[in-house]
Amino acid sequence: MIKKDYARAKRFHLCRNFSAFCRLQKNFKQMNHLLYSIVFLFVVQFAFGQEKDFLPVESDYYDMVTVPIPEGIVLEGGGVVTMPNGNVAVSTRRGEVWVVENPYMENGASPRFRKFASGLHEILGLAYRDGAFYCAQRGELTKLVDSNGDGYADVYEAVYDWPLSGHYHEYSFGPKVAEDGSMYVTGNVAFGDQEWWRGESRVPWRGWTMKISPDGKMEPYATGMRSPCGIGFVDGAFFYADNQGDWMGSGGLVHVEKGDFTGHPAGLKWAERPDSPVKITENDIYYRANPRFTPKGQPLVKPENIEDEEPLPLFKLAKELPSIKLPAVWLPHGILGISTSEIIVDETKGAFGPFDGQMLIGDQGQSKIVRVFLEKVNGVYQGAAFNFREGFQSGVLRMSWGKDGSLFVGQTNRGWGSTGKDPYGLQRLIWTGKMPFEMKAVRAMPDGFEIEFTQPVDKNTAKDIASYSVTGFTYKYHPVYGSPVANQENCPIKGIVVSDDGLKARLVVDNLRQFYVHELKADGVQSYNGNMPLLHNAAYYTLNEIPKGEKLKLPEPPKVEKPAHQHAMPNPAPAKKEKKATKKKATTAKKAKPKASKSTAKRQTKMPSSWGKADQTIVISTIPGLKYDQKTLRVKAGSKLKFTFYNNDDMPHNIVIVKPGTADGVGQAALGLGLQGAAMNYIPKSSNVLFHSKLVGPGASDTIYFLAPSKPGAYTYVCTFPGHAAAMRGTLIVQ
Amino acid sequence: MIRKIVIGIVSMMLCLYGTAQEKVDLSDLSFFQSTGDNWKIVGSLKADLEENKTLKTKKGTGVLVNLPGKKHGSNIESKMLHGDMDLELEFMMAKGSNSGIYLQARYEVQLLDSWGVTLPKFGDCGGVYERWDESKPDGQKGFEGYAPRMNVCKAPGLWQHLKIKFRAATFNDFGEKVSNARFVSIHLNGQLIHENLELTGPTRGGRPESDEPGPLFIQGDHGPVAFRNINYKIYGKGKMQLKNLRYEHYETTTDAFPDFKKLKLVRKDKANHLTHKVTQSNGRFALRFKGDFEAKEAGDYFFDMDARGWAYLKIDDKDLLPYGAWRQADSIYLKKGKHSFELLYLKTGPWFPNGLGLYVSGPDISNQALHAPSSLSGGGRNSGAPILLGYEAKPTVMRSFRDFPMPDGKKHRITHAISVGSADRLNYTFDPKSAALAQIWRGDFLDATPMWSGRGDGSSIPLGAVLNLGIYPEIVKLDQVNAEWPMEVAESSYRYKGYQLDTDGWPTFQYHIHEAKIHDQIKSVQAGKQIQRKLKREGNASGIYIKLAQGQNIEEQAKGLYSIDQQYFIQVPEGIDVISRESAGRQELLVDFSKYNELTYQLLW
Repeated sequence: MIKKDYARAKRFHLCRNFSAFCRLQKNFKQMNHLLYSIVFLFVVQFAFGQEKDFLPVESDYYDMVTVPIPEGIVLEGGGVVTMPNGNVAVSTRRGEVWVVENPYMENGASPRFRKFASGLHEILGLAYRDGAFYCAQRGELTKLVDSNGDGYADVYEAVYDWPLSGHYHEYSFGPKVAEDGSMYVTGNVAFGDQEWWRGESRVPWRGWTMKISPDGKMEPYATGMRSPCGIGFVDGAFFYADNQGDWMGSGGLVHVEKGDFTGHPAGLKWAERPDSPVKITENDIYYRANPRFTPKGQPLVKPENIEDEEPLPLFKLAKELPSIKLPAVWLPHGILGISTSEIIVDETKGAFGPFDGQMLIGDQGQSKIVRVFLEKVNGVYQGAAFNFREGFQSGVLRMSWGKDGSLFVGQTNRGWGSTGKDPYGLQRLIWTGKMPFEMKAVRAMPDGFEIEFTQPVDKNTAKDIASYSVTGFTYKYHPVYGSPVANQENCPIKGIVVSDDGLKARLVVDNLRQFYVHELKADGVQSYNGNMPLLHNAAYYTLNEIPKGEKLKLPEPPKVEKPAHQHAMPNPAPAKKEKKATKKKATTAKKAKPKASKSTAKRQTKMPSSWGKADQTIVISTIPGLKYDQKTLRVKAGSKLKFTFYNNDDMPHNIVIVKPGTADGVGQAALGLGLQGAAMNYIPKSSNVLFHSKLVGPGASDTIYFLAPSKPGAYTYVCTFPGHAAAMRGTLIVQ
Repeated sequence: MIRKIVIGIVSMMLCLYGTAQEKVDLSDLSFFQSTGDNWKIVGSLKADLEENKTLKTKKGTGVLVNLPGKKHGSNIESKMLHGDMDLELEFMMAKGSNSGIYLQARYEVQLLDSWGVTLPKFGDCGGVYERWDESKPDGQKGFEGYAPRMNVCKAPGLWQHLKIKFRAATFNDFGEKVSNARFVSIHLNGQLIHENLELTGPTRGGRPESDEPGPLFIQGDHGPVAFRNINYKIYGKGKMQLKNLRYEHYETTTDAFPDFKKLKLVRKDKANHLTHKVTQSNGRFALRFKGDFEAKEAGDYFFDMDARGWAYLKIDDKDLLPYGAWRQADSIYLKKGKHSFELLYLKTGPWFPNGLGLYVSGPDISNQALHAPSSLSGGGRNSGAPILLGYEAKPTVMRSFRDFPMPDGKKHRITHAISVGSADRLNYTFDPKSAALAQIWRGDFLDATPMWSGRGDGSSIPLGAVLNLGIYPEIVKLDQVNAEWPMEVAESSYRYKGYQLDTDGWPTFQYHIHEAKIHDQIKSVQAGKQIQRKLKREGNASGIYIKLAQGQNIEEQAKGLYSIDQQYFIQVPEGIDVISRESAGRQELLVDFSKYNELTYQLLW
């Protein structure tokens, strides 16, 4: 204990020194640049290399407890709900509902699993109300009642059933029960038989939210959903979270009101029916955003991102079509998840820590939970999203609050793969009682943002402009799977005012753009107690509305801020753009656009003319579930290789050949690229990266040429797309 | 010397019977050696469900029947002699009757009235009968009998279907056995019950093994049995080999038929075998094989291609198997001599494992693989381990998609299917979208692999012999009794309400049709011999009719017992007026539900 405290103290000391050094930097601009860099690197190495083990980590604040599942029960958690007596019920893909008794493992005893119902069709939701369970099967909202008191359901009442075409992707989610007892259910789109990448609604009401009364009356409520796995209520308002995909630039959280259209056009097929409340038509959308259908009789062509076009974000359409509902909060793909799942509001009144009233959103692919602070500006929901807790055993799908304010997390990765390698699981997240140093909230201000912290900040770092960086971006609205970060521009910070209690920092920021996501990084800010860095130093604020009101009078004239590379931590925002940004937005945006297809030393896309012919041609592909189709490849040392990577999955992948034993580090570094990740193909700048493909979208390929390493050994190839590196690997044996 | 004789016999057989599938002419008994008068040719027959060993016949032709009466009947055997043979036939058992089919008069597949048996033995219908060693002490004489994988035997009086692929034992020039006789497969009522089953010698009562062909032999001494639609195909002992085999490996981007001039060639080389393993990829690729082979006899050759993806096969200049997905087969007449072939295998993604198989059969060769053994493995689209759903003490209910085979050969996906499995091995699927009893099946319960492996496609497969009844509504409102039965549910008048389990675990489905509320309990009764449907109603049911059955030939065989095309029986209790009518080119049995508050009937199968 004493030893640990000592170590902490030592680190805090170093941190102080480190930030002091950073401040010092500014005064030594005349210093020889090279020398300066060397010293800088040395200090970074020292500060982080030496003290890495003592940085605060998520588990210091949120403990994870795995609930043991009896052998033979395949608990692919499609729904989790806590019953009034504190028992937790889990519905599964295998069509069962299990009641977990004593899930808290009180008295040191294992929980008991009791089967309550079975035989249902791939359940993806569960609710409990007035002594009955409700769950969405693929094609039916079902009420389950144990009418004879033997602990097993004998009534399987069809509250409402809806049509299906029978496509595998036609999952149905829910219900979530509103205060008036009505139940909300959402449905995935199917995919085309020919155009397998295109979401389509073959029968009513796929791609819709349905509102169903307890006596079985269904009201089509809203459409535009693609894969609406996460649904829930905040203060009585209905929200849903979607996944990245075609027409969906990234995951996001949307406040859905009756008649809304949220982006995916498939469900509009039914918009002109008399019972549809949605007043947008397919034509309204396709007229403005080319769906790029394959003309009849032509070979199929899957839409790919067009790099040199003027990006068309969804908000541009929303200006003309008011029924379009923009995400209240975008969840940047790869940073805050890759496959959004459950949304749930912290109603524990502090039992779960400092985030009472905020929202948690699960992510299947990255096995983690993100946190969302919501506010209403000009009557519109918007807010900020943060990373919260990662490291779950499987894909996070469903969450429910335990009676003690702990969080039960039902998990599965059902054929898609996830960072957590177990096929399914049930875990419980418990606040340890320690206060994490976090951005508790970010609020929009007429001239910038106000960050609220969970603990008082060290004012020196908090008022230092160099401790922060802000950048804005948006996503394209197009029939392509996902979107690159579009129109990214820096937002110069003009000044900072820290509140007297040290809990808030007000940032005055230039170049705020309505509807854009604003990344706020506060990596230099430290806590007052212990000079800790933030546990998660980035917030993503979706600025649908800029509040009216008085702007802040800055205490001192705005400074000219420093180029990004002088920030205390590496800042990924392009530095040179800043000055041009306000003058020539369009051209800068174009210039800033990454050239993903450009040939580089580590990714040579043309055969070197001196080769004549490759010694060996390697073709490698993907298998669903985060796998390459080949676990090992064998090549001769120094041979000329032609290397083709096909991505047949329905999510993006790359392939990176790294030095032996460095895959974990390279994967981590790729995660750290943040917003720049996609533009950089998720390839970190590292000498451990030997060769790599570009980021290859679904159905596409990339071919590179390189000389096999001259030193024999077992090299690793790995996908560094966020969340994939732990699972998606193979060995390149150089002989 | 022996060899010469064998060759002589084989070529004689070829001359006599050719190589195409032969249908036995049952206008008389000329296919068979003369035998006792218990074997007759008749036109039709029916079995009594109550009385043992009774078949009632009508004059005519097309059906071979054994009517031994009280005496011990004679057996019957064909004039035809066979070695390797595929055999397909229909048979009908009398109640309590016993027979058997001996391939080459040596190896017996048992026929028995095993209706309702839960755990079949080698002596049950479809079993491969045990061998016999007289020298062993009593109780140890019988050995190596093989029970069918499951009991799929139907009721007496119904036509049952049997399909056997048999390969004879082989011998060297010295008359020593080189390989055992083998049942490549036996399907009973559409269900595979044996596969690649080797027999070390003749079964009990079979003739001794030798290199010589033998007749098809049917047991006639244990009770009445009937046969019709006997088809067979005999094969010689030749082998085919692919020669001068070469391959080209291309990159592809679409699943369209490739334009090879535009495709990028990755590699081309000689190939030792026909196998997809010439590429390491499991992603997108196209493989083109070229080579030739020799047809040692002129005649029809049958090519059967199992490509896990897309493929075509060209023989000489003919596109024999056009560019298509998965399994395709067709035959071609080939002159004696050398022929060239070209085969394309194209894969568009890693969703399922690579697999490429090509089988051939011809005038002198039985079905033979032309691909390397490792080029094709089991599992089809599913790469994971099978996930099977078995029986529990109480009935098992499971919802899934179900692909229902339509009369036109297409599949209709039942999207809300409810399958119910019972421990006595008679299962059913109810379609709540039309209130139809869609399928019943006998055997194991469900293969849920397609639903639960990987991402799954939401569907399950019934395991066993399946009776497909239909997906059309069975309870509707008719304007008048002569009105044509609707093929679709009127959405506004029908609402499914769910089901309730009784204490034994059987579901009672509930739905509303117009003003009537229906309680529909469907369960297996009589130790798995019958499905019983009990319909209760509340509310006004005027104009509501129940369709009990439809078919081409419905006959009331006993009081209230209707035979539906001799494929299944419907039993209606006394006191129920059954309306038998012709409508839309078929026969239908209806009941006016407004006259009854409750109707219970059974389906016997």
